[in-house]
Amino acid sequence: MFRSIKIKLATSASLMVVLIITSYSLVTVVHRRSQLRQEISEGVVSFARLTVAPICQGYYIYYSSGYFKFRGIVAGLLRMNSNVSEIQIIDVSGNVLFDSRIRDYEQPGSLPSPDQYESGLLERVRRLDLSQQPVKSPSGDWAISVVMPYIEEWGRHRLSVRYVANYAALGGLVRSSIIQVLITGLVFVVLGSLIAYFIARTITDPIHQLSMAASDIGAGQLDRSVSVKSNDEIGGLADSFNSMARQLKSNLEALSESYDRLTRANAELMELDRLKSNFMANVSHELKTPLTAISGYADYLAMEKLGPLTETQRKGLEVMRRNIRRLTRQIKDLLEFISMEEGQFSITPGMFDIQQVFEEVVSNYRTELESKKLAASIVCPPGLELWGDRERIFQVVDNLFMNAIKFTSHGSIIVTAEIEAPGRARIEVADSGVGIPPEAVARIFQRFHQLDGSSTRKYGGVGLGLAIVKSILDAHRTTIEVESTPGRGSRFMFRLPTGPEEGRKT
Amino acid sequence: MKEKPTGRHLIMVIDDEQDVASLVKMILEGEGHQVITALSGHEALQMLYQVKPDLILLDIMMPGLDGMEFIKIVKIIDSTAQIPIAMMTARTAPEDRAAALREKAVEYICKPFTAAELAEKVNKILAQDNK
Repeated sequence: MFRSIKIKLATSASLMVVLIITSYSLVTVVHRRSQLRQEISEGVVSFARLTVAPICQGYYIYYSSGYFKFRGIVAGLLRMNSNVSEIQIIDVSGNVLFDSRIRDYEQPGSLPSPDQYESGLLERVRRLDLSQQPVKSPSGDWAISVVMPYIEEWGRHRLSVRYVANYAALGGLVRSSIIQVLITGLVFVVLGSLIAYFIARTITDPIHQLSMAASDIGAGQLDRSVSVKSNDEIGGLADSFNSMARQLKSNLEALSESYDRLTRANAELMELDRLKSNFMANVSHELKTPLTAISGYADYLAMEKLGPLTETQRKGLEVMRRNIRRLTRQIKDLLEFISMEEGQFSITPGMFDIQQVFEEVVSNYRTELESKKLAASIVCPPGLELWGDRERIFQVVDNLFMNAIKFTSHGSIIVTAEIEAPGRARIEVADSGVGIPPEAVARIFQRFHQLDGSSTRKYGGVGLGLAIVKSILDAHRTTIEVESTPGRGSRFMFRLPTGPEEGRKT
Repeated sequence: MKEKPTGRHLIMVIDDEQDVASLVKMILEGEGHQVITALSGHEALQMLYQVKPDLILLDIMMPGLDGMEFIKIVKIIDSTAQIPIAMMTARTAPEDRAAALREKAVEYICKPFTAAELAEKVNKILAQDNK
């Protein structure tokens, strides 16, 4: 495939040589032909000037007898110029009196009229007469005729002689010159192709080297370079190629170095990540295990399984249990929040009964509600099923409900679920507590946030509850809304689909 | 406390935390069950040669043989494969729960649990098992 440029160059060079030689030889042949024709007609004219007088005088002398003698004289004259093939004697009205081609006359004195042996040639000769234009002779050769008048004494003119010369010799001469031109042409073509081939080689060999080197580099041999020493464009290409190969090699080395670095860093990060999740699991274990033992025994004591309790003992135990619950709650929120921050958080949606969730939440806080003398009511169409992660939604309602209790000192808390539009339900937790100032509404869902620094001490909690709520609802692709009047109470709302289809639509 | 399940059941509690193991033993004995405790997976496997409990309560995070390894072993031994196992753990991540249920655990109880919650769940499993 790398030979093709050579072949193309050689072919086009030979074609050009052939074209030049062909046109040159055409011009040469045409020129030579007209030159030869000129020579022949000039020769015929001077021959005519020399011979017109002896022919006409001879004709007068042998007119009545001795025709064959006259013919012999004419034949002798014809032999003197090989180009002249025929001699005619014509009178002033154009009648042919004698023709050297006609051998036998019975009576030379009664020459036949031209019509009797008229040929195409003679007719045309008469018309063209002095033009010396070439005509086609009956034998098929090109010919010219020269008519020379015979001027006698006293300027009398009775006869003219027509000399017909054909170009038969011309053909041979032209043919030989064509052959000469062809041979020279062939030599030139061969030489030209060879020269073109060698010139092409000086171009294609470096290109071939470059392409081999490029495919080697492509196969990964980055140390490869090209040794083309020339100061033309190909030399320049080879230089750029070498510097490109060096650049490629250094880039690749840098790349593989940074790849190694990244791989190591990634491995370290993965190890760190594994250690961290191990650590989280251990922290979780270490916090929850003692809590399990404490709360279990406290519960068991409160059930009076281990004997009846006095009123003071019971009160003390209640304080313990309340604070155990609070601690449990904080640890749970904290761990939950950390795992959400880590992104280890997913929801597994399904159909669930929202009323059951409400009832479970409210019953969990029965002690708190009683101790703060708050009323709690559930407004919900029986058997209403919603689409979502039950455990997570439970957490949301639980958090909202716990907040409502925390910030309400008297009045009631109402938990509502209702179909708001086909396929969509609205869930609401409303309280009659301290409310939230409008400027603070946007901030309450930020982590670690409570209304002011002192509220932490007054209401307890570390401010993670609403951040968790927001994360869970984000994962459900729904949002939480707040309406609040400071001093009058707050309403927290969110929406859930009533089935998987509706959930996908929103 | 409430209605007791029919008959006394033998329950094996496996937890490396002595306090938790004792607590669970106390609560379940209060429910009228017979309870044996093991403080490691290895100890529990030894005991399973002699006794065949009606239910195993299994902690996950234990030194040595941990809960997930223990349940795999128990489930491939023919004589113990049928014993229902409930996990009882501080790990609350959904992946952990899913992994345990894949190993055919019948219940996943998160620590810290209340006494009432534990008793209720255990009685539910035993009632289903009796059917």
